[in-house]
Amino acid sequence: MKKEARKLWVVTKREYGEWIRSRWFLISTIFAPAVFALLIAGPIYMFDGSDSKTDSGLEDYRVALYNVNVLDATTTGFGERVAQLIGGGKYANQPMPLVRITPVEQLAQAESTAIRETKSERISGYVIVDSNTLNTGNAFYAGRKANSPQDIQFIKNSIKEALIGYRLESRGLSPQEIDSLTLSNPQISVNAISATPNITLADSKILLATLITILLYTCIVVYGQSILTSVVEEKTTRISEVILSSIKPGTLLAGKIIGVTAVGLTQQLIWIAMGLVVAFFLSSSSTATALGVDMQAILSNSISIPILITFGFYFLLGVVFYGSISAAVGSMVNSESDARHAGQPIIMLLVASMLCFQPLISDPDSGLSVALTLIPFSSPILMPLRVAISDVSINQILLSLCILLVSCIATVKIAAKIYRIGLLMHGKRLSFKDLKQALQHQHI
Amino acid sequence: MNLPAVEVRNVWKRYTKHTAVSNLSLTIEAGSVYGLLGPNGAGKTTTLRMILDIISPDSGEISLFGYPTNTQGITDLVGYLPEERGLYRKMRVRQVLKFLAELKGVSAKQADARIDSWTEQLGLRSPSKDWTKAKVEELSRGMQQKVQFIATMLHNPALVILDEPFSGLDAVNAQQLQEIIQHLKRSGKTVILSTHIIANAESLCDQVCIMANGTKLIEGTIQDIKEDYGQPAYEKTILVQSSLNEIFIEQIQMASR
Repeated sequence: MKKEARKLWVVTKREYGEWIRSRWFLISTIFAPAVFALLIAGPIYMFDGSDSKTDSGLEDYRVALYNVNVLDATTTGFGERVAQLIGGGKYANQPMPLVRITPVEQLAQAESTAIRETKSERISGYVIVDSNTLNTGNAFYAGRKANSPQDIQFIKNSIKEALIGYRLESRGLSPQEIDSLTLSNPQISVNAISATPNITLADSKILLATLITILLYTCIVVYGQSILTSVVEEKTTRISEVILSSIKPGTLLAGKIIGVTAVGLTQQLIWIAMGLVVAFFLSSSSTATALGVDMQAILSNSISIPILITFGFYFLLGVVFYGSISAAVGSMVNSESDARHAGQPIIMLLVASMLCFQPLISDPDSGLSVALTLIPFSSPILMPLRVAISDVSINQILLSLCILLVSCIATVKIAAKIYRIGLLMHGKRLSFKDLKQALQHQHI
Repeated sequence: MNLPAVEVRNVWKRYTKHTAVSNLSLTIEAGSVYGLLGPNGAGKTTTLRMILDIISPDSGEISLFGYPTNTQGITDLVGYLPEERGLYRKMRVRQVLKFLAELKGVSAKQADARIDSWTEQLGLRSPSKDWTKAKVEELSRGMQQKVQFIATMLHNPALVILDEPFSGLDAVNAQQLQEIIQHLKRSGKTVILSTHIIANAESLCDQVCIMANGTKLIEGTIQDIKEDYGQPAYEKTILVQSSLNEIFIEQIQMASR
């Protein structure tokens, strides 16, 4: 037993050393979080950079649309009212669209002038308001960006607001009364929504859960495939026979899985350390907070010890479970190209788990969610996700872990038997008869 | 009385479509060079794998130095050079050798000293060039075979199993390997030589077993087999000339001095 344990250590040490020293490890350890960080922090900081200019998207349109002309054929000054609203209101210190008061009979000529100016890019477009607009609200807008839904919506809102003002004035209200009824500042409502603390925490939890799921999925795929590649390498280079003359296949398989899992753990620890540094850095970002990405809330409320422990256990057992399946599959094929095809069903199992992400987020305590977190194929990815967003009972977690652990032991035993016969078989694939014989064999 | 190095008793090994070994019994005395001869598919490699406990027989018994082959640590007494050779291509030579030696229970420090000694002896390490620092994939095929042979010997095994050791070797290296096998015999090691090159077996082996289709056809010393199965012939020799092989080896060795 002592000798076998020492051999297990030798294999584990080699696996760990070779992966840690590889260029792949260095690149993935540095670049994977960099890509994640860019995906998450990039939009936040882009938003942060424009913070001083705008608090909502509305002013962008005002600035872009001031260059339209308003052709006013109403003879009531309605065009002026629309232009003011497009320009940000009469008290805003913004450029305002030019209003051309146009008698109805000259409207066609004014319009052709506006078309010409639009084509020559002197103006961006024009809006026609007439008596029909006052009665029904219908107006006409043409311009270089006239197919932009956001532009159309903004002009529509401006006309609607102008119409309300016009109608209120017709009913005898004073301009001050109309202003108090019609002028509003949309910036205030945006800040008010994002300042709600409950939404921030919930968002933080979902963000964390998403990160955990992606991380687990990526790691299980990557490390499962690493084990598969390693087995195929041993088989194709024919070193497996020399190794098997010194060590039992079960020990070799165990050493390989432990070594690769240890590499994964090392990488996770490095990533967690890097993540904490980035989270601390982001927590000082005012915009991150304004957007609801309250990093301090994540750190203090979402990342708890139970979550980390759950994550750790499921990561370890997930790699062992999928790693042993990958090793068995790797031992059954004869080349790296065969391995890619043979590895696809394993990936499909993991992708299927990822597809259940949305239903689980929507209702983490439904029957489906509970079942998915108990099945060993999906529990390594989905249980940590569920724990992160919902209060899962400790009994359920323990039951899920027990099922996964028993499945791991069974998978390793079955894989070792297939591995033993598969490693020595060159030139042909294992048939079902061979597999049956391998599984019935008593010695591992 | 000395225990035999290997004892195979009534061993059978069947696969789904054929029987690889049928009712095989062998006794290999300690300190001898034993030849396992036969054409491809005779069951030689399957027999060797069963002796090494890589695969188990369906029935029958195999013992190494008096112990069943599944006894903990017994296969650490065996050095194995398989027919299908291979090494981790991306690893450095010293690292691979150290790994394989450690798997056989040699400490890292001991392994280093033995690697130095063997690589110097087989010309992989000299003051001008140290191939132990190179990656395996940087070595020529011949050099890789030498590395594989060193891996077989690093733990100083009592039993050395060489499966087709001469395949792929040039004449100089084949000659060197023959000398090493003779040296192993002189130092009291047991050697099992599986080959289909009969001339090599004749010059090296004390005893041979000829196999075909998984069964033993003949077993005994070379002399006994010749007496029992050889056809008598008379030959008058006037002049014995060196063979082309001998001249080639002599010239190459003179040039390299």
